Amino acid sequence: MRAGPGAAAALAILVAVVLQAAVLSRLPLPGGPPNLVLVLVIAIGLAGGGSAGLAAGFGAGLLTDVLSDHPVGVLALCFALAGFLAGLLDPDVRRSVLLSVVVVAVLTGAVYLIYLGVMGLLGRPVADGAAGVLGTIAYDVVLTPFVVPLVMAVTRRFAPARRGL
Amino acid sequence: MMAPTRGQRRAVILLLLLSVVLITLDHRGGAFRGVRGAAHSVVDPAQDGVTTLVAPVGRFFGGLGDLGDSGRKIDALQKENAELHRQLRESELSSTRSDELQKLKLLSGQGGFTVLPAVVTGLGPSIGFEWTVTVDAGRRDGLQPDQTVIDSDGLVGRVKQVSERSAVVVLAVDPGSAVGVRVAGGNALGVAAGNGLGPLTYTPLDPSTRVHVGDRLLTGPYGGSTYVAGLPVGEVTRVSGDPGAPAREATVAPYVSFSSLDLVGIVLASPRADPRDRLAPPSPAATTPEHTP
Repeated sequence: MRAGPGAAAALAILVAVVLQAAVLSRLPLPGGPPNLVLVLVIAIGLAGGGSAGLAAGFGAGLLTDVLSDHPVGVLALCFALAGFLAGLLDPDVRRSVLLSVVVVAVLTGAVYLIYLGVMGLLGRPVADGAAGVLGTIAYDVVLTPFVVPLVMAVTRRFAPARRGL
Repeated sequence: MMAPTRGQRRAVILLLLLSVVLITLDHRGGAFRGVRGAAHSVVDPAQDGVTTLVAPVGRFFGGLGDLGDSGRKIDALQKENAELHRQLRESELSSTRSDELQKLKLLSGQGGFTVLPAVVTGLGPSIGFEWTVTVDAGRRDGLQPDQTVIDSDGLVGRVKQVSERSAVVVLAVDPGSAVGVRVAGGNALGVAAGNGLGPLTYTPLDPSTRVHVGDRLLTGPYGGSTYVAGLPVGEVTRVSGDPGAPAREATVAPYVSFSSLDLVGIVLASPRADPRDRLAPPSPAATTPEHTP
């Protein structure tokens, strides 16, 4: 990744984490909160490929970790995997907005499962169980058509010749 | 699905191992306190800004100048400064949140506490499951870890981590939180544990204690809990087993509405004397503030 897209991704992640804490987590919605940071990570994976998704996921997860109460590294692991897997999908799949919605739904569910699994392994109490996950998946799906095309467009501006890779 | 290249495969394995090492280090001994503090001092001001934009509130952001370096004087000045900060905060908040501030002062006045008002600027950015909030007051306002946090309805939680201008508060409903409590009008002690957003679970220390629907729980006396004594926690809404019979567990609706926290107060100083039942809300459920189911 060159400095331009890397810096843009870092800035976007920082903004997303702040919005997540200050706005999205506080919305009085039923179920779990929407997870803008995760949607962004998946979008970066879809737009920039496996390596970009991996790096963005690890960075975003780590930042969220140090600002949260759980052990540092848990979300870095979850988000890195999500970004990486999104980036490994075929370029045709990755460019379809409709399919990106499915990808976000599946990966959001997967991230929650891994998170709950790791917290279970560590013997940490986890409240509310999986009840909120469906809400989060639904909200993330709603965010996807806004976030993914935006990230795609920005990526294309940085690498016009390489056609979304 | 495309097959990952060799380099990618190596990078994934490396980062996954790194995550596991980080998790292990932090789980064992909280190795990242400094890093967490630093991250908060970078992100929280931005969070403050966004909160101010989203819910316009005029607030004080004046920086603290260099205070020179003669130890005791600094201490005295810092204390004075924190007190001035507190007064300034009160006068500023009184224009935007005057009702809430009045109620908070009423509660702290009854208990004889010194309370620093603060505004919740964000929830933990994690993916749910843990219940922490960030407040816009920090070390320069005199905050320290383990201080009790209240709002006008009662116990909110305790300070977990302090940065220069912000602090993280663990809510009483956090699944890791357990509050030592006493039943108002008696001496029965117990523990109220968090279950996430929703009712608390009360377990009496003495299993032969009778628990009744409508029992009001207050934070336990000194030595019984890390919290300031005598703060309203919640009201028993359901007792498992036969009514009146010895019960092992009861469901407690917290007085504080955790889903809509805004103005909170950090208890900076409290009298050694237990206020006993002075702060307990009026008895029956009639005046119980709304709470999330």
